[in-house]
Amino acid sequence: MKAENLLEARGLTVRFAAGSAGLFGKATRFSAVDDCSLGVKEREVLSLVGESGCGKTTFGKTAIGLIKPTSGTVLYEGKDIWQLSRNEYAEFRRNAQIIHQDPYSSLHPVKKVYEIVSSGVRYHKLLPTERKIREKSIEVLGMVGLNPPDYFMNKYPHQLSGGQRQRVSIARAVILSPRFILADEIVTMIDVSMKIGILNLLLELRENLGSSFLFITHDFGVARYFAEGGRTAVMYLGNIVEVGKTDELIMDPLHPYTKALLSAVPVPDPILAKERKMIELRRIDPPDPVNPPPGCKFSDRCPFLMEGKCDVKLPELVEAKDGRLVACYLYGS
Amino acid sequence: MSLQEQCPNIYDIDNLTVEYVLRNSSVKAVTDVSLDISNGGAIGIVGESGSGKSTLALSLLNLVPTPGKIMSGKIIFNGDKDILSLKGEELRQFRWKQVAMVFQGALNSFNPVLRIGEQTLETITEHESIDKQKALDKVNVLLKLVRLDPERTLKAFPHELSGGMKQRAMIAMALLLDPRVLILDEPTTALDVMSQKYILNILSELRKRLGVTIMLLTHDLAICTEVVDRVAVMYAGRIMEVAKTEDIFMRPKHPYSLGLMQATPSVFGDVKKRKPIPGSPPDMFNVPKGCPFNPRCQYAIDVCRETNPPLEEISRDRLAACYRWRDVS
Amino acid sequence: MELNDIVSSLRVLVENKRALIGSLILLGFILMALFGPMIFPLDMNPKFNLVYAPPSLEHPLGCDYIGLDILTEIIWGARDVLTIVMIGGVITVVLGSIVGLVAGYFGGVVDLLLNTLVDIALTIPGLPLVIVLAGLIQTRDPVSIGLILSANAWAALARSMRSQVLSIKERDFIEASRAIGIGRLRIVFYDVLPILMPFVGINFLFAVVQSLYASVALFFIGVLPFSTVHWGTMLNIAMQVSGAIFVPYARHYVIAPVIFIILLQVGLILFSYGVEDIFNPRLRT
Repeated sequence: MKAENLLEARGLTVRFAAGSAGLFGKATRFSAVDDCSLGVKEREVLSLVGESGCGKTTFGKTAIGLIKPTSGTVLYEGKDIWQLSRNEYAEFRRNAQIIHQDPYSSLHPVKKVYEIVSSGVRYHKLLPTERKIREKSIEVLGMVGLNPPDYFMNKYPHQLSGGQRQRVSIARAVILSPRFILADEIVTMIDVSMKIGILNLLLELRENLGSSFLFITHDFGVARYFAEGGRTAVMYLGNIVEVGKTDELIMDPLHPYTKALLSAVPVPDPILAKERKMIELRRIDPPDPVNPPPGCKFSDRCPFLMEGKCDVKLPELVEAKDGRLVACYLYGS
Repeated sequence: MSLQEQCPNIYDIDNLTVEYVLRNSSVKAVTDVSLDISNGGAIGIVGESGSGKSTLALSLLNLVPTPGKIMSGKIIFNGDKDILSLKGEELRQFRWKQVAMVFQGALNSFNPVLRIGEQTLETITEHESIDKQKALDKVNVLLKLVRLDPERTLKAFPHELSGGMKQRAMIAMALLLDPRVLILDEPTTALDVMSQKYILNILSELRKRLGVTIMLLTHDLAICTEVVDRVAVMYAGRIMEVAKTEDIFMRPKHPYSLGLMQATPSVFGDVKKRKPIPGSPPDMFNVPKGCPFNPRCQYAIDVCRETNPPLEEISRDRLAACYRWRDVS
Repeated sequence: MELNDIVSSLRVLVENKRALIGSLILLGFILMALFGPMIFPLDMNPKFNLVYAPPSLEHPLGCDYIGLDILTEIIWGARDVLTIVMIGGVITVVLGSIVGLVAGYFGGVVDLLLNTLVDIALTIPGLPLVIVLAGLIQTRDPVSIGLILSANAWAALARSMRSQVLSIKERDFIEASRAIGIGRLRIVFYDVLPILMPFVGINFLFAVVQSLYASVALFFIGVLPFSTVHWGTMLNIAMQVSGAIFVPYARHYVIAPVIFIILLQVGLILFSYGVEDIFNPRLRT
């Protein structure tokens, strides 16, 4: 029986030590990712939105096996990735790639573009001769819009602009034709005029390769653009609080945090902007991630707080309406 | 007498050119910039990396770091002070007392080993000889204005505050000496969306309450719908367009402004209408001849590749540096 | 390494003034070691009429305690000196790097074991260890001597390499290599090591300097048997046989080897200023 999801996280928890242990105590541990479950289907695009520090990057990296979770499982085609045989794991590894956020640290500074892009193909001996490797690299560089490819092959990263470096990063991920790609805030550090170009490239590659994407961002506008036909998940302090079809979620957010986020997003329309008021939160500043409030982590700021309920136990992610999952007692968690 | 009557423009910038002179080459970070900043107004300077906006802001305080040099132009403050000719004590008094700047990455400019209170008081007592109690009172008032709990904030170390809180504390500190102008360089870039909105609201309030002129530098056009009433768009060290906020968004008259609008993914609006600006940001060591935007411009004609279009008044209170502004829509 | 890389490395070297001087000095020593003995034959027969002859046109550095030309002795000594210290330097760096890289990247049990080894090696004081080893393993073989010299010098390098690796392994491009599925050993030597080449290069030169002084000390003390004219040996003889520092007319016999030892060290250190530049890709383009 084929698994429904290509890649699925179940009850994923990742805890880190925060601060030092002090003289007598143990080091405080905090959950960067707290009991998160989320699945991505074949060829699906899922945007994961959240503010910095919410754990989305940790979640993503754990989902593709770069971080070992403290508890919970990650399933690739229904099988636990940490229990796979060597060959199965090798296949998974090749099919789960990452594109990093910072184009200035994601490329090896002492290697040329050719070497960077072809490293995967070369290591796994996916092509028989150096010439074929070279051809493939040229092809992929062309695919990511670095033309003429010959010119870029021999460049060092420091000779390229941020946007170009990001394309090299994409080329490196894509050359293995992976079935799943984690794109971690990939346009956050790119100039405004180039963001859409990179996103369009990724969408095009998705068409051609049929890969699934977990697209991490803090910017709802970017999330919407990329995952327009797909789903969006919202994270807050380590928990997934809402999941749904992108357009529906944006037009009709259910979770109070999602509502607050969307009400605060700047819109490039001065008339519309004047009408929009940010939702009044009980506290403007987020809590210390190492010391979140008990129960629902949004409870100390939530305007819909139900005392005795929200501040006692963490609400579970339940289906509030068709295709929409929410972790909130307002919707029957 | 209202602010405007006192002196209509708090800053008159005239043909400013700032160059960074390196060993074998030089970069003109700001070229031929002329801009009026109205007294008590709020202006947003929008530009991507390399646009020159930070250098422009630093020039307003004559703080351009070496190897930068102000090659030509005038900056007149409050109708009578020539900023570029101020020296020594006069310059020191001018900076921070008349004009204060919150730098990019200000979150990291707090001394991590001192409590906020200790650092803040240091600033005041360095510049003014007022007694400690009065200084503290002032700090309390300002912190409340930026919605921070004065007691808690002053006692805290920088790492105990969130990004948004530190930024607001920075803004409060910048206002300690009652400056006439507050310049903020990318004040919300590293912050979450809610802190950002909050800070923009606070800036609007500060402007109303204190009558301070605000200059906001950003790469994010969308935040100019808050706080600012005028927007200047910069590219490759030059000003491309200046207009009222509404005009820039609804009726941009410069291809670059239009391009920015179309290239910004937004939560609302038609996704299909988004288009990237072709090409890449200019190589500041090799700025294109003529209009620096011409290689990426869909409206470019021959003259654009030859001569740089001057910044002209195309209607009341609107300036654009484009030969084809009439066709832009 | 393509021809292009070699050419651009040389170009970078030439542009760095200090490194240029350093490399010229080193080149001089290498030529001295390679070709010197052919050009200046060493006549081992004592010439009693030239004992402690002061510097002159015929004998630019004077003569030693049995009338042999000091300059020729220096030239012949260069070969031994350079061989020994280079080997010492290479062994130190290779051993130290491998241990440091593997311990730092692999972590866990491997790290624990290697660290213990390093700690043990570090607690033993360097020079005394070397002296004892040399005394026990009386050898004339330059390779063995090189090995002895690096007895625990490698440990300090292993320690510092390890901490360098700890910070590098968190970087994004390393993570990307992991995502591609590249094996740990390969990542260590193909991704991490290239970043640390300047560090390794400079440490190599310092290891050579260290070996230089250690070997001179060994020969000076007389712990190692000598048959050839090592500069340390010359110092040994100068001090013990001739009491040269006390006897003014034999002073040149002491000064000559000392000058060359210092000159070699200066050459190495000046050259090290260029090491970072050579490995910097920005300067090559």
